[in-house]
Amino acid sequence: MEEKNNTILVDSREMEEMRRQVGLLKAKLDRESIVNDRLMRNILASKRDKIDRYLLRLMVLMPFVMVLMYLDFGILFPLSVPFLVFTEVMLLVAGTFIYFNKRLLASADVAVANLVEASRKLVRFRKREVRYVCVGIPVAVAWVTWLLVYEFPHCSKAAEVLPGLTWGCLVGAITGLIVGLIKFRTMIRGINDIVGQIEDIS
Amino acid sequence: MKENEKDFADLVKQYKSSVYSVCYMFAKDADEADDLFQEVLINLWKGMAMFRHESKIGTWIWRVSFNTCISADRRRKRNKEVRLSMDIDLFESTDEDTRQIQMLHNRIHRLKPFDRAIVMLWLEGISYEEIGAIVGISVKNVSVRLVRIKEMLKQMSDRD
Repeated sequence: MEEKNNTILVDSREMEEMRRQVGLLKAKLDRESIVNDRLMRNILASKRDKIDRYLLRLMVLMPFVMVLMYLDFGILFPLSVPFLVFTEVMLLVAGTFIYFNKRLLASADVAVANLVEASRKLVRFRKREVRYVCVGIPVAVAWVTWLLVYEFPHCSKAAEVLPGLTWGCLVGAITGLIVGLIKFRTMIRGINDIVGQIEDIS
Repeated sequence: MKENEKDFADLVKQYKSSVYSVCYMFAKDADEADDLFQEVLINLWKGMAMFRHESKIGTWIWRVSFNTCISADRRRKRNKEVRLSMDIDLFESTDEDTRQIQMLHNRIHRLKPFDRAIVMLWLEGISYEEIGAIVGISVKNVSVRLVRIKEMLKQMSDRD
């Protein structure tokens, strides 16, 4: 009888120990998050990196464009000095803006930083880009108008091929505007996507 | 997020510990536990639309979890890139609580899959009736099996 009681006691103790261990397991699991945080961050980081690479390409191209503008409007078709200076300054300002905005994007490190903070930086980046486009497009339109209406007609070398130059510039400007807007829209969508996903998981 | 997605996310948040503990008891390592966890969640998502509330939601979740783990194809190729996990490794950690959990795992893992399901549900404090509803056997059968399982666990402890 005593042996049977001892057996029952041992049984209960074992089951109690296992119950306690189940409790430990559930307590540990309750503290964990279900989504693979690392995986989500990697996905967000790769989306952000895609935009970063696009801005890097623009930045790398900028010095070449500045040199090209000098060769075209300073040597090939010598235009007025104010126009040339304005062109180079405009490109320099654009390049500087891209550089600082790229830095802001890089600081929104979704891979390791606080996601809410990263989201705020991305929203700031988006606002800056929108402002850049709102200012940039009118400036670009004014520059093309200045070039076609005043500079080319007053340039003796350009006067010889004026119709071709005019049409070439117009087609180039319109194509550039369309491609630029498409790229801009893709970039903003990418940012909106990242910000939206951060909102979902935080 | 769509409403059904939100409902599912809320449900999973509520039962994640129960689901993962089942997967843990049926797995040999952390990767396998994560694979089973992902598979259970997928089956829950697929089954949610067809769930007719003939049983309690908790009962249904336990049933899907155990059915998935018992019948899982362990040879399926693992895709590390998309696997959901609980971001916890109960197989490698060395703190005291995890050692206790590993002891539990070692005991339960030595049982047959069907017996693991029964003892886990009993340890959760679930009634014999509900255990029977989850695993698909009668209350009497649950009682008989539990006696046998306890005996086996005791013999394992005596040998260790």
